[in-house]
Amino acid sequence: MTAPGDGGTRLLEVRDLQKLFPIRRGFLRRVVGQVRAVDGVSFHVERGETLALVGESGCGKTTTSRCVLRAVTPTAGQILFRTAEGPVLDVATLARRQLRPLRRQMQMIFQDPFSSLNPRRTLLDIVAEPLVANRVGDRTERIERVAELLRLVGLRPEYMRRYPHAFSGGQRQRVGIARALALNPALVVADEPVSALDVSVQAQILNLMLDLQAQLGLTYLFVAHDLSVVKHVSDRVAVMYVGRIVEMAETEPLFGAPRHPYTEALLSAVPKPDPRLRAERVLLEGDVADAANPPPGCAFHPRCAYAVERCRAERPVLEAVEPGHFVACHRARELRLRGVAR
Amino acid sequence: MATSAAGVAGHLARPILEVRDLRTYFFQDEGTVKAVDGAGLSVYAGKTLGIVGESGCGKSVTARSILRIVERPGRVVSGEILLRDRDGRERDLARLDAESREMREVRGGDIALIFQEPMTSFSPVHTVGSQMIETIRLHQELDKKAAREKAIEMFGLVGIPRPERRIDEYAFQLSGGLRQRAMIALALSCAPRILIADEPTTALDVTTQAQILALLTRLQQREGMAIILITHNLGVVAETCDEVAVMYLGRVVEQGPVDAIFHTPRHPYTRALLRSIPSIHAPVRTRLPTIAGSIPHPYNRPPGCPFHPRCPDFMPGRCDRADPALRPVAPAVDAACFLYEDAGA
Amino acid sequence: MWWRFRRHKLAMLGTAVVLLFYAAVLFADFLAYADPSASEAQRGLLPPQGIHWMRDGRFAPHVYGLAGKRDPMTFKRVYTPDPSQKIPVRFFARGFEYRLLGVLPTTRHLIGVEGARPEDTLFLLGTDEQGRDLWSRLMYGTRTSLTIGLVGVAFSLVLGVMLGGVSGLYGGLADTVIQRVIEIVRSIPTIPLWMGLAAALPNDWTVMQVYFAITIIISLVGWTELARVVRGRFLALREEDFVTAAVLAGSSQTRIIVHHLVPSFLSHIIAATTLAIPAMIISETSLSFLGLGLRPPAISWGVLLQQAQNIQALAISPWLLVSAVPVIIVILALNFMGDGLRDAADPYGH
Repeated sequence: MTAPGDGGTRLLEVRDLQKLFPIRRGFLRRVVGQVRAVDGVSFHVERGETLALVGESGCGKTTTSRCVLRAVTPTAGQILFRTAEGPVLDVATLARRQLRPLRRQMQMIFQDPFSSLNPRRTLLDIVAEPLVANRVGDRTERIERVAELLRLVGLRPEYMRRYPHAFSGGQRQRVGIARALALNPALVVADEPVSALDVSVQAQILNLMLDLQAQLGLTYLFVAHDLSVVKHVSDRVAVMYVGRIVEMAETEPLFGAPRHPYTEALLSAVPKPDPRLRAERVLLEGDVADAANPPPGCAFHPRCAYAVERCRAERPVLEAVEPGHFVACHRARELRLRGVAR
Repeated sequence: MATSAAGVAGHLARPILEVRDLRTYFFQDEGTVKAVDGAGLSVYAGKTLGIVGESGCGKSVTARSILRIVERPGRVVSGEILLRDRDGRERDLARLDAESREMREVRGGDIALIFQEPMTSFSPVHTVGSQMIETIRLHQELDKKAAREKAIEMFGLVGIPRPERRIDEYAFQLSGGLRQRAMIALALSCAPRILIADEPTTALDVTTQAQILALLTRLQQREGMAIILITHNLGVVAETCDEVAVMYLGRVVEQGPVDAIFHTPRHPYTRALLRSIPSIHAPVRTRLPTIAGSIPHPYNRPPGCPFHPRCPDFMPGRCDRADPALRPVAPAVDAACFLYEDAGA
Repeated sequence: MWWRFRRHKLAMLGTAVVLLFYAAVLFADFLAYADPSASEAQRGLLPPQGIHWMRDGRFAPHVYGLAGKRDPMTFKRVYTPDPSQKIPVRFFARGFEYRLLGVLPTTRHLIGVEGARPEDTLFLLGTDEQGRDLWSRLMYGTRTSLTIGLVGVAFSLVLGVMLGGVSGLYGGLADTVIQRVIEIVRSIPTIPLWMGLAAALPNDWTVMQVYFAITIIISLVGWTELARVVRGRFLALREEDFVTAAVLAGSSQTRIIVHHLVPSFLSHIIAATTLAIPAMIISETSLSFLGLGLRPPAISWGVLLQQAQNIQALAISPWLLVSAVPVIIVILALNFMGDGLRDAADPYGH
C-alpha cells in the first residue's frame, strides 16, 4: 500500500479515479457505449479542511463522492484513506469484509431530506441505525448517544420518538447530520446538503456544519452546484466538467482570479443578489456536454470563447500554474480571466 | 387592498393586471390551508415583476389563481384579479367561471404560463411542434402550413438551433435548456400580454439558467410583454426584475422597485432574508445571520402578522393581535408591518 | 394509512360485507339447517318456501307444509304448498349434529323446524334435482369457495414475494430469467391451461386432494401479478437514499431487507393480495362450473352452478342459479376493499 506522499496530514487521496457506466441497447442488452461519469479524477483532502466539488449536471461530482465511500464501485483508480488506526487503505479495491469496519470512519449527508430518512421509522431508530448495525453499546447507551447527537445538531432529544413526517426539511436535514455523526467519522461527504432547503434554512444548516467541523475536527468533502454556498464553507474548491477536474485551488484565488474559462463562465453565470451589479455576463453557447459522448480533446472546447486548434486535438492535463492552483487548460498561462470581486 | 396608486416612479400608465386582496384556500380533510391569504400585486406593461418567497408562501398558488387553474380542493375564495385591455376595459378574472370560454381565451391569449419542469407540460406522445401548431391554430385563424411556419419562426426566436428539425422531435429528445426554450416558444406563440414564469430556471444548470434569463429579457424588449417571475432565488430577482413582491405565508409583505427592496428593505422579513442568503462576494468561510425559528406549518398559522414569532422587531400586544395591512411606506414601496403604521405613509 | 382507508366509504362497506361472508365460513354449519348431502329424490326441484312471519297477529314465523300428490299425467310426485299446514320455524332450533368451529359438538342451528313431523322440513331456497336443500348447500359452498381463495392467495403470496424479491433486489440474470418466465406464464390462455392440468388429475383422488391440487393449479398463474408488484417496489426502494444510508452505516443485507424494505412495501402487498382473492374465487368457480375443478360430492359455488347448467334450470327452477349471487357480491366487496387499501397505501399511485 502506498501512503500519500506527505507528513501524514492528508486524510484522503484520490488518484486517477474512473467510473464508467455501460449503455445497453437491444433485446440482448449489448453494450454500445460508455457514460464516462468520472474520467480520471485526482485530488486530495487534508485533515480538518473542506474541499468542495462543484459543477453542473453530469459533471460527475456526485458519482465521485459515492465512489469515495464505495457506495459505488469504481472502474479504475485509487482511493487512499488514512484510517484512524494508522495504515492507509485503498477503498476502491478493498474486500467487502474489510470495508464494513472502515465505513464507520466515513459517512454521508444526503441531498433530499425527505427520501434520506425512512418514513416508517422513528428518529431514534434512524439515528441509532449505525450504532445498531455495528453493535455499538446496549439499548440504554444508544438512547443516550442519540439524545446527545440530537442536541448537538440543535434538536430536542424528546423528538426521538417521533417520525420524520412531523418535521420540516431543515429539521430532517439535521437528523441526517446526526445520523452521519453517530460513529464519530473522520470524513463526512456532504452531497448537496442544502440544495433542497429554503433559503433561510440553508444558512442555519451551513452554520451548523461549520460549527460541527470546529467542534469535532471533521473533514468535509462538499459536493454542490451553488457557488455561493461553496464560498461560505470551503477551504479549497475543485471545479468539474464532464467527469474531469478543470480547475482546483483555494477558495479565494479561485473565485477572485480563475484560470479556466469554464470557471470564469460559471462564476459570471451566478446571479448576484444586488441589482446594481448587472454586469456583462459571459454567456456560453449550447448545453452542457454529454458524458456519454464527450467532445474530443478538451471537453469544454465547443463552448469555450478562447478555444484554439490544439484544444480540439489534445486533452489538457491538470497541472499547477501556481503553487496550490491547478488548471487543465492549454492556454492557462496566457489568459486573463475575470473573477468575482469581494 | 389597493397598492400604491401612483405605481413605480416612471410608470405613468395603470397596471395591466392588478390583484387585490386575493384569498385562495384549500379545503382538505385535515383542515383548511390558507395558501394565499390577502395578496395584492400590480403588473405593468413591459416590466418584470418578481414574486419571491420560500416554501409555503403561496407564490405558485397566486400564479395559478390568476389563471384560475387551482386544483381541487382549492379555490379562489375572495379578492379581485383585474385584467385591463388596451382600450381600458377591465375584467375581473376572479368572477369568471374557471371553465368558461372567456377564461380559456385569456389563458394563452392574454396570459401565458411556463413551469419549472418543462417535461410535464409537453405530451410525451406528441412532437413539440404538433403541440405548438395546435395552440397556434386554437387562438389564430391559420391553416396547418402557415401554423407550422409560425411555429418554426417561434423556435428560432427563442434560440433553438435548426428549428425546422427540432420541431419534429419529442420532448424527451431535447435537453433541459432546449425544452425550456420550447416551452417559452409555446407560451409566446399567441403573443400574450403577460407571461407568468413559475420557477423557470430552478431545474436548470446555472450556465443554462443565465441563457434562459437573458432570453426572457430579450424577448420582453422585443415583444413588450409584462413578465411575472416567480422564484425563491433572490439573485435571479436582482438580475432580471424591475419590481419585486416578497411573500410570506400567503401574504405580500413588501412590494416595490428592485433597488429599493434590495438596498432599503423595509419589512423585517425582507431584511432578515437578504442577510441570510449565501453570497458569492462574501469572505471565505463566513457564518451567515439566520432567521430564528422556521416556517410554520400551514395548519398552524400564527394569529395576527404571520411573521411575528420570528420577527426581531416583534411588538407584543400588537403584532400578535391584528393583521397589518399592505400600505405605502415610501414612494412606490408598500409594506405590511406595524412598524410603519404609526409613522404614516 | 388506516385513517385514510376508513374515509373510503365504499371500501368500508366492502370490508363489512367481506367480514360477514367470512363469518359465514366459520359458522356454515350453524347457518345451515339441513344436512347438505341428505338427498331425497322425491323432494327434487322444490321452489323456495317463503317464511310467513305473522300468524294471528303474533310474531310466529312459519312455513307452509307441502302436500304431495301424484300427477296423473307424468306419475311424478308434485309438491304444492299447503296453507293449512303451518310448520313453525324456530330460531336456534335443533337439527343435525356438527362441531361448532370444529371443536364443540352441538345440534343447534340458526333456524329450523323443530317439533314438526319428520317429513316436514324447511326449504328456504328450494331444493335441487336430488332434493337437497339449496340454502344449506349454499352455506357449505361458501365455506369451500372462500377458503380456496385464501389458501390459493397465500400460496401465490409466498411464491410471488420470494421470486419478485429476488428479481428486484438482485437484478441481473436472475431478474431477466424470472421476468421472462412470468411473461410466458401470463401469455398462456388460462382456461385451456387449467383444463389440461385439471384433466391430468387422477380420477380416484379424494375430495381434499382435488381441492388442494386445484388450489395449486390456480396459484400457478396468480403469483405472477404479486411478483411484479413486489419487484416494482423493490426496484424503486433500492435507489432510495435511506437505503444507501443504511448500506453506508454498515447494515447487513438482511437487516436492510427486514427493517427498511419490507415495512415500506407491506401496505402494497396487503392491497395487492386483497385484490388477488377475487381472481382466485372466480377461477375456482369457473373451473368447477366447467366440471374441471371440484366435483360432487364436494360443494362449492361453482359446483352448485354446474348443476344448474341446463335449460330446465333456467326455465322451470331458476332458484338453482342463486349461487351466482354471492359470487358477484363477494367479488365486488373484495374489489372495493382492495381498492380502498391500495389507495390508502399509496394515494399518489407511484
